[in-house]
Parts: sequence; structure tokens; C-alpha cells
Amino acid sequence: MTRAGNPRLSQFLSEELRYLVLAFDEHNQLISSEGNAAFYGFDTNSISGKSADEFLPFLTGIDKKVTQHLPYIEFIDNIITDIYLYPDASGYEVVLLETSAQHDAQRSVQQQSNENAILHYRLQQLSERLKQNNILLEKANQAKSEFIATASHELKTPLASILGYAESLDKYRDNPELEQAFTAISGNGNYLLSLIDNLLEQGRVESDQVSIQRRPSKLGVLLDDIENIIRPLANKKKLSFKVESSHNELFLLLDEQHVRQILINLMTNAVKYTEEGQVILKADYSDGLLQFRIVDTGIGIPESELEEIMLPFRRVGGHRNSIEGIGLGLSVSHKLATLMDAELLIESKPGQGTTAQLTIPAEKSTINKTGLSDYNRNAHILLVEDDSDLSSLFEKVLSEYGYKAITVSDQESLDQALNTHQPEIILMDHNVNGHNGLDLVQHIYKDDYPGKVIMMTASSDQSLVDMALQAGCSDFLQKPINLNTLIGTIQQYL
Amino acid sequence: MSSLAKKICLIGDFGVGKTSLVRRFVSNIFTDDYITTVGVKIETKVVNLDHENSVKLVIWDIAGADNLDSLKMSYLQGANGYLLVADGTRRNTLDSALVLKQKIDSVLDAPPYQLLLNKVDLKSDWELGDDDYLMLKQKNILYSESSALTGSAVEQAFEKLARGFWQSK
Repeated sequence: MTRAGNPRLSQFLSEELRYLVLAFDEHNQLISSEGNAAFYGFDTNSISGKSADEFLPFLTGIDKKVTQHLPYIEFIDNIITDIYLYPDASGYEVVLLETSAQHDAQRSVQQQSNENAILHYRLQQLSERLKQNNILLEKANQAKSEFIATASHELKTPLASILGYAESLDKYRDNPELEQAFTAISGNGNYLLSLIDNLLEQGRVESDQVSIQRRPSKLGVLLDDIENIIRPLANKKKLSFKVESSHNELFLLLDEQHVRQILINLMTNAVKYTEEGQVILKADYSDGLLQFRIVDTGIGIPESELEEIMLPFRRVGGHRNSIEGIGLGLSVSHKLATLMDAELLIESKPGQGTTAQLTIPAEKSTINKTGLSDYNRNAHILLVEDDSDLSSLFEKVLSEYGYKAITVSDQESLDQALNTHQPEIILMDHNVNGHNGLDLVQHIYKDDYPGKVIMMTASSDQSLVDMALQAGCSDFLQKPINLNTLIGTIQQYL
Repeated sequence: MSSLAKKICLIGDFGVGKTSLVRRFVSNIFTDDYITTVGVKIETKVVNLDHENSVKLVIWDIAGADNLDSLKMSYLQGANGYLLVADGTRRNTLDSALVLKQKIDSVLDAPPYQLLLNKVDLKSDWELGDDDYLMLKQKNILYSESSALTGSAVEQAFEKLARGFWQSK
């Protein structure tokens, strides 16, 4: 007799529900079975009388005196069963009930959930790693900025002195011996300065540290500077050199320092890559656009290389070793032009020369101070500077313009000088004997200093400009300071 | 010839490679697909300790989780030992493994176990570091770095358990 009572019903249930009931005695020997043994791969005859552990491995270790329900057990490949164990007086019964469908449904949900959890974990870890990398990058960037600032200071301070003194010797050009020495010092000094500027600027551009500072600039002064730097190079190669402009008296709002850097780069290239003929710099201004054209009769650039030469450390093919330079000038110029919303175009044909065209949006300045003699002479200028060469140079130049220049290099003498001389303008070095010039500026203004402070630094850190202005400085000059720029800036505030 | 039958369980968080370890040990195969285990998959393998003696391991590959509910505890009943598995490329699965161990030890009277830090073939993504190894050392927890992909340390872990059963029978 079957449990279902009816053999047909029993057969129907075992086939549909795929159950199997196995009864064991207290010695684990199979006594009877009922249900769909074939579905579980059992041959009723062959398992008859066998020990339970021999064909039901899940019973190993199981307490058979306790009722059990073990869901979703796969002890035969691809067949999932719920297992029930019922102890009785003579032994126990094991019931197998196939639950593959429920198992698969649950697994589908669980699979999705687990995969999501793993993905979530991976994303979290990735996000954490990115954060850590970001912190490291920021630290590296900070270190790079500090290095650039230090390198700027260390490299440019002595150059400021060399170029400043060379500039002050300009009036002795009539002496042929001095003229040669002046040309050599000035030419090589300016070349070294342009190399340093390009190297430092490349680093700053890459780390988004360049800010554009537009201030009133007299076009003629800028062109004179460029001519003074480039003419000796052109003369050395016996090239015809011309600067053409009918707007020399114009005052424009320009980032003069960066425009000068671009023009020096373009002009230096023009001279370097021209063996005979001429180099011309033309300046024009109309409709708020300042346009420079540098035309040379040099070797030209193949069309295929026109884009490539804008990349750092790339130079015109075939001349990499024969012409001095490090291949940064055009790359830096291009980036600086972009930052100034300017356009830099290079047109060239091999053998027919090159034309570089720089077009800069530039408003006319409302400040139009032209002469040097109209200004408040006899004013006291206090120099806070620890480089004795530079301070001597500035004192000399300032005194030539009639100013009374006093130099101090520490806070105590600064306080004394403020009381004694009541200077109209203070030229404050950013780094004075290890003291931060910004702290000294704050110190000065705390005592209601009525004059103006102009910060000077060899550092290339542009955030310094903002900090200086916030600290109360009226202006900011970057070393090496062109002496005309120095005087022009002082005059703005007198 | 003398033989024992012993139940061992694989315990650990989901996706740490428990099923792959069993497949490597029992069938010497590996597939890279991740298929979640729901419930338990039971396999058996006889470990021959020498010419005379062997242990039949009844291996319960229990669905992964970071905790043990009453259902999973019912799967664990009668276990003679267990393999505790963590995924070396997911740091949190080691924490889960240690929580699971604590629970098992409190309920099953600290059965013998082997800790496997699995997926050592993915060493480039390994998240466990010196701090983790030091922590395991301080807790006197021995471990092996295993790989179901290469088979590294897999057979040894099961065999160690089997030998332990034999020696303590």
C-alpha cells in the first residue's frame, strides 16, 4: 500500500512532484522506498539494503534523531531538492522533493543582487583609489609649483641683476669695447632668460597656473625692448632687421610680460632659422585688435610639420642639432596666446621664409602717461630687498630719475625707514632674508601706511599676484624687471 | 584499507570562489563564470593519505554570505571541519570570513579549518596588505593564498583537513 493510498495517484504524484521517500532502520539500512527513484538516478533494487551514507552523502554527520529540513540541496548534478528527515521509533525517513524551479528563480534574483554588490564594492574601491591618487597628484602638483617658484627665484634673481646692470650701461654704447661687452652680456642674458621663462612657463601652463594680468603698456616701449633684445642677434648673423609700427604712442591693456615672451620666442626663431635676408616685426592696431607680424626669409617649415612644431620639444626636422634651442618657444607661445584669447598663426613654405602672426584683443588704456619728467620727482622710494646687487642697481636707476631711494632688508629697519622717510612708494621683495614679503605688507598696512606698495618677485607662482593684491599691494612686478617698466609703474602711483 | 567519511563545509562571502575551489579539487576544472550558489552543492572526494588509509570528504559548498543565519547554521550541523574562504581582491571578504569564523567557533565548538585567501592569480588587484597579514598573525590564524584558476594551494588545503581528521580519529 502506498502513502497516497491509490497506486495510480501515487505514480502521478511521484512523477509530477518528483518526490522520493526513503525509510531507514536504526542501523541506516534502507527498509523501503516510495516515489520517483529513477529521477534521482537510483535503481530501487540496487540501493535496497544499502547503508544510507553510501548513496545519500548529505546524511554524513547529520543528527538523524532530530527532524530536519534542508532546502535547496544539490547532491546529484543539476537536481535541486529539499530534504526532509523525520526520525521515528524504528529509525528515520528521508524525503526528497525536487525544487529546481524555485531554486533557479531564487538564484536568478540572488545572482543579480550579488553581482550588483560586487560591482558596487569595486566602484567604491575605484572611487577611493581615485581620491587617493588625486591627493597624491595634488601633492605632486604642489611640489612642482614649489619647485618652479624656487627655481624661478634662484635662476631669475641673479639674471635680474645681470640684465639690469647691463641695461644701465646702455648709455656707454658709444665706446666700441663696451658696446661689444654690453651686446654679449645683454644678448646672452636675454637668451638665457627666454629659455628659463619658456621652461618655467611650460611647467606652469601644464598645471594651469598661468593667469593673465593686463595692465597699461606703451606699445613703443614694448617694441623697443624687443628690438634691443633681438637686434644684437640679427646683427651677429648680418641680417637686415626692422621694426615697423605707426602706433608707438598707444597705451594698451596688455599682459606685457607674456606678450613680450611670445614676441621674443617668435623673433628668436625667425633669426635662428634665417641665414640671409631679413627679419621684420610689424605692429598694427585697429578695431581693438593688436596685430604683430614677424616675417623672415629663412628656411621655412614643411607643411607636414606646421602642426607638430606647436608641440613641446618639437623642432623643425633636419635642424634639431645644428640650431640652438630646446623646442619650447612655439609650444609655450601658442599656449600663452590661447590664454590671452589671442590667435597665433604660422604660414610658411620651405625655402621661402615664414610669417608668424599674433593677433591680440587689446583695449586702449585710459592711462596715457608719456613723459618721464612730469612726475613727482624727489619722492621717497623705499626698497625692501635683500639682494645687494639688485638694490644697488635699483637705487642707482631711481636716483637717475630723481627719486630718493632707501634700501632696507629687515623688519626693524623697515619700521625705522617708514618713520624717518615716510616713503610714497615701497618696492617690496617677496622674499626678504627668509621673511615673507606679504607678511611685511600686512604689517605695514596695519600701521595705516598711506602710500603704495608694489610687490616684486622672481617667483612664477601666479597665485602670488592675487595674494599680493589681497594683502593691499597696488601692483606686482616680476623679476627681471625691465627698468622702463619699473619707472613707468612707479609713476602710475605718484 | 581503512576509510573515514567526514563532512566539511566551505564558508565565506559570496563570489570569493568557494564553488570554483571545490570544482578544482573534485574535478580539476575551472571556469571563469560566476554562478551564484543558492542552498548547498554537495560533492564527495576520497583523499588517499597513503597506501592504506583514506578519508572520504563530503564537501558542502554553502551559498556565500557575510553572516550565518539559522538556515546556514542548519547546513553546518555535523561538520567536522571547514574551509574559510576570502577573496584577496576584495578586502571586505576577509572581514566577513573572520566574522563567520567567530560564529562557527561559538556554535560548533571550534572545528578545524583552513583559511584560504583566494584568487592569488589576480595579485595585481590584490587588496590585502601588510596590515592584514599582521592582523592574522596576531590572531594566530594560519592562511594560504590559493587560486582555483591555477590550482595553487587548493589540494593542499583539503588534504590538510583530511590528515587532521585522520590523526584525531
